[in-house]
Amino acid sequence: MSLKSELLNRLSYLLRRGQFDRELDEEIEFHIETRADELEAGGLVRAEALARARREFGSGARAKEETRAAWQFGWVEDLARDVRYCGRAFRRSPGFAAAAIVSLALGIGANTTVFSLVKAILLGGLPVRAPARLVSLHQPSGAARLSYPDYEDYRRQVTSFEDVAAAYPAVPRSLNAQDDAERLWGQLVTTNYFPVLGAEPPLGRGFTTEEFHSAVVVISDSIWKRRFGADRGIVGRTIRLGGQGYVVVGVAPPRFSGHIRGLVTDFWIPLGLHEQAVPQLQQGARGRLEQDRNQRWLYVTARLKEGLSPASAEAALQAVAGRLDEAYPRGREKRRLRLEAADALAMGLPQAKSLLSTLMVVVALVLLVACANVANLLLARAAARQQEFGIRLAIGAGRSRLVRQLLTESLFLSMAGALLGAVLAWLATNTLGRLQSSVPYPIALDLTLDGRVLLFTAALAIVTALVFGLAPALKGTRAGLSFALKGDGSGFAALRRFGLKNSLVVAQVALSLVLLVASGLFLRSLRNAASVPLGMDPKDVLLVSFDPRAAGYTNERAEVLFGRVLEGVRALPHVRSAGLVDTPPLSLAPNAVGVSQPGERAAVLADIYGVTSQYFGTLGIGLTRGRDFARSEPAGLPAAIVNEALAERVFPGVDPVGHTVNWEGMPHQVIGITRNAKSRTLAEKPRPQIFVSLEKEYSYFWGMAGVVLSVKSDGAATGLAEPVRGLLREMDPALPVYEVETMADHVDRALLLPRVCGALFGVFGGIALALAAVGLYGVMSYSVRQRTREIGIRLAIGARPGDVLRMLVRQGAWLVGVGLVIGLGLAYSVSRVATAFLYGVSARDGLTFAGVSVLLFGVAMAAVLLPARRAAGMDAVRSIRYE
Amino acid sequence: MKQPEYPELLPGTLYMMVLRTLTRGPLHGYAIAKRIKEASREGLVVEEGSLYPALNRMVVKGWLTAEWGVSENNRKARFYQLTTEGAKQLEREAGEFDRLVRAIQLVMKSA
Repeated sequence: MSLKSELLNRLSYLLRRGQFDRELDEEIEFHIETRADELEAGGLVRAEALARARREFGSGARAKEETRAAWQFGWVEDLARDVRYCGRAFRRSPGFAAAAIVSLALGIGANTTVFSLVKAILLGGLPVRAPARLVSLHQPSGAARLSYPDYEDYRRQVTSFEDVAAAYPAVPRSLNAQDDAERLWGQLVTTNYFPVLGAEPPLGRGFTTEEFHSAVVVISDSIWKRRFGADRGIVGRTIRLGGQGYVVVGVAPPRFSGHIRGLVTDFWIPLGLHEQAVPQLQQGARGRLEQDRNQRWLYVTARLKEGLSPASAEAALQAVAGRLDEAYPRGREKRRLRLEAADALAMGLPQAKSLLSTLMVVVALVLLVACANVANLLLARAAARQQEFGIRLAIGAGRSRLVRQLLTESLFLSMAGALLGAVLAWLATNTLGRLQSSVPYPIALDLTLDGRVLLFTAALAIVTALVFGLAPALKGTRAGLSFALKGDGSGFAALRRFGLKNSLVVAQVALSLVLLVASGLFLRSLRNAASVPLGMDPKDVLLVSFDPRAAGYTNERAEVLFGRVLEGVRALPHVRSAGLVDTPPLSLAPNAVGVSQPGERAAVLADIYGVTSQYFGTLGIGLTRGRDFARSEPAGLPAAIVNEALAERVFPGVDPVGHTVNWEGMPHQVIGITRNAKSRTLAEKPRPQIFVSLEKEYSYFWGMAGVVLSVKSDGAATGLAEPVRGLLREMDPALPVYEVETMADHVDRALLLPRVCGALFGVFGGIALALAAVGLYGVMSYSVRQRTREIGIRLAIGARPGDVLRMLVRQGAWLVGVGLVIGLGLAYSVSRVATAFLYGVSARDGLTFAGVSVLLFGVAMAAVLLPARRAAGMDAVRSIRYE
Repeated sequence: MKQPEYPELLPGTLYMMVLRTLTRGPLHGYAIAKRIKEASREGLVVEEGSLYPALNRMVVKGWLTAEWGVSENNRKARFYQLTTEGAKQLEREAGEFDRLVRAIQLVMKSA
């Protein structure tokens, strides 16, 4: 008989225990009666025979107990009993249970949400074979790009790697359907990409070495499902990307989205196709890409040989780099490479990291406050249950048994809290997922609550149960039997001076203050950010993004297209003006270039925009001097418009109109000056900006985004969405329109970060305040209740109610005051972290600190005053008799 | 009234003897105890208090099955029956026990 069936036997016992017990009784009864029959046959009368049989059998109860034990999993039964018991206990005080569970749910839910963000952004885990052995090659400057010939040399000469692959990410191509072109994001990859990554297509295959220049494609699992209905016959079929035919050779593994985490990749094509797929890559090249060592455009990923450390591989790389430096010197800049884990987040946003760490601190604080609160409630409850514990100890329950019972109760609370918290986190991550999908880049973070996150939540539940449950459990059962039965609660008298309970009150006030300061700062920041002057007028402006390059347009053909589109749109009814821009302001990601006067070495870093005529008028960015771009610019130097901030920095004290300005060494003539307008974020100080002609210099703008048509209407901007879409579709059905939004929504989105922070902290702050108030009220009422007799005596020997009130309030105020002082110190030292996210308010804003302190003090004192007043109003005689 | 004194069972032998007793067919608890007492010519007695837990442990382990039936005195009684697993267990235990007894006897005789 196997262990499994033994287990099953035991389980079946658990399920029909009642029946089993009855049967056991019957069996023992049968035994006794049979024995009695025998004795009766031997001459005894029935009654005597029965009595003797019973005596002989001994303690039936013990036999039953032992028999039952044969079937039970001892601890499971005990646990079930404990859980049933605490279920009953909580049913008796549902208010307490609800308060505890909700506090914990908020704390745990917030932590789970932030952890799912941390998991998505900071924790590794490409869905590939042995991801730990994948490294990416970085230059020390942090730039991750290498030239093709260098890549080939490293690949051939460094023996520490199984193999090395290279890729060029973010190749936009439109996937053509009937009249609905969708923009997909692809990568150009070396043919060994899939084997190196360890992501061999489960359907079809990766690329063969011979396919370096072939028009073949591997599509992602999600595109295969979404666009091709998971048709297994897709392999071998030709699909059209950017107007060109590609033969599908494979479908990538599910969840695999390329080696750059967070960046969506829909398809992969061989690197040799770069000329047809990304013609602008050749722009400005001094030779062919595959021979030019100065064109650094490839992201290189390598798979370490089994058992080799990255450090040894790095040394081997360095040796090769040294040889390459000798053979192909690059001036002063030496080749040096670092190895990094291959799945580092694409957008190594330091901002995201510091936001995350701030959030982690905050949610940890929320959880701590919740724990302190529940611990407080439990302590108070333990005090009230002294008598119950005393009786249980008296009838022989061990102290460990009681502690276990109390910990079971804590665990019960925290599990319920975790369950509710997981639901909250699920709601929160869903909301967050929707928010980030509105970012105009192919970014997708895996925010799902997977096993790892749920494990984290469960662990959190257990840890919190210990944090808030252990101390009250130990404290509550320590008091000996005698006094507990007397029930005067004097075991807690020792706590009154500065025991656990008081420290909890102080901690709670302090932590609540930190959270309230944070929410105060963020809410003020949000208000400031919402009312900041933009330097432009987003009213009635529609933004329509489309991507000519994804549809296979060359720069020359795109220039023609821009003219036709602008002409067509301006002729539409209700259109006041229309212009094009490569990236609308407040998108966080314009290119920055060095701008200087000719001959000057020091350059000013400026955001560069490619725009067409009427762009400034459409967005309401005023021109202070000079003129706008014209449809046909005069021959000579290309034209540029600069903003006031740039004019001040590059041409101090001079009117730059008519002067020449260089960006990245290319001379332009300044034809106009605009007012300062926001460029990247609302919080920024005016940034230098330079505008050049999108039509003439489209080749320069080959970032990830296409171009954005901005249209000012004479009414509601949304009414233009369909006519403009229709016009674009009419001009070229293959042209992917990937985003339509109003400028007002776009500006709103720039407020997302302060808004999300404001909302989060507003909610957390509110929770902290509510928890603090509830906790303080609970603690004060219990402590007053315990001191009922003392207060009664004071009243009886002549103290006036006012004196008692003053005494209680003074003691409460003292605790709250200590908490406030500690909290202020804490808040002052951690608020610096928030600086990056604040607009128009200092992280150490005195008004916020003072206001929040007053608010918290007021709430805390109200929580103290209520029970104190009740106590002071007591009838002296009754209160002495209280017990 | 004083209970007659019986030598106690060697530890661990109860299972073996119950299994052995059941090789001739199913019996209820009382009959098992009685059979052991008689077979040992009153030399051994099974305490009822330990018999039923032992029977149940053996059912849990799958050496026995238990079924309700009617006893010789027309009462409802639970009858225990040996399973193949139980028979194997008996063989194992009996073998080991024989070896143990022989070894003890050798020691006792050599002295």
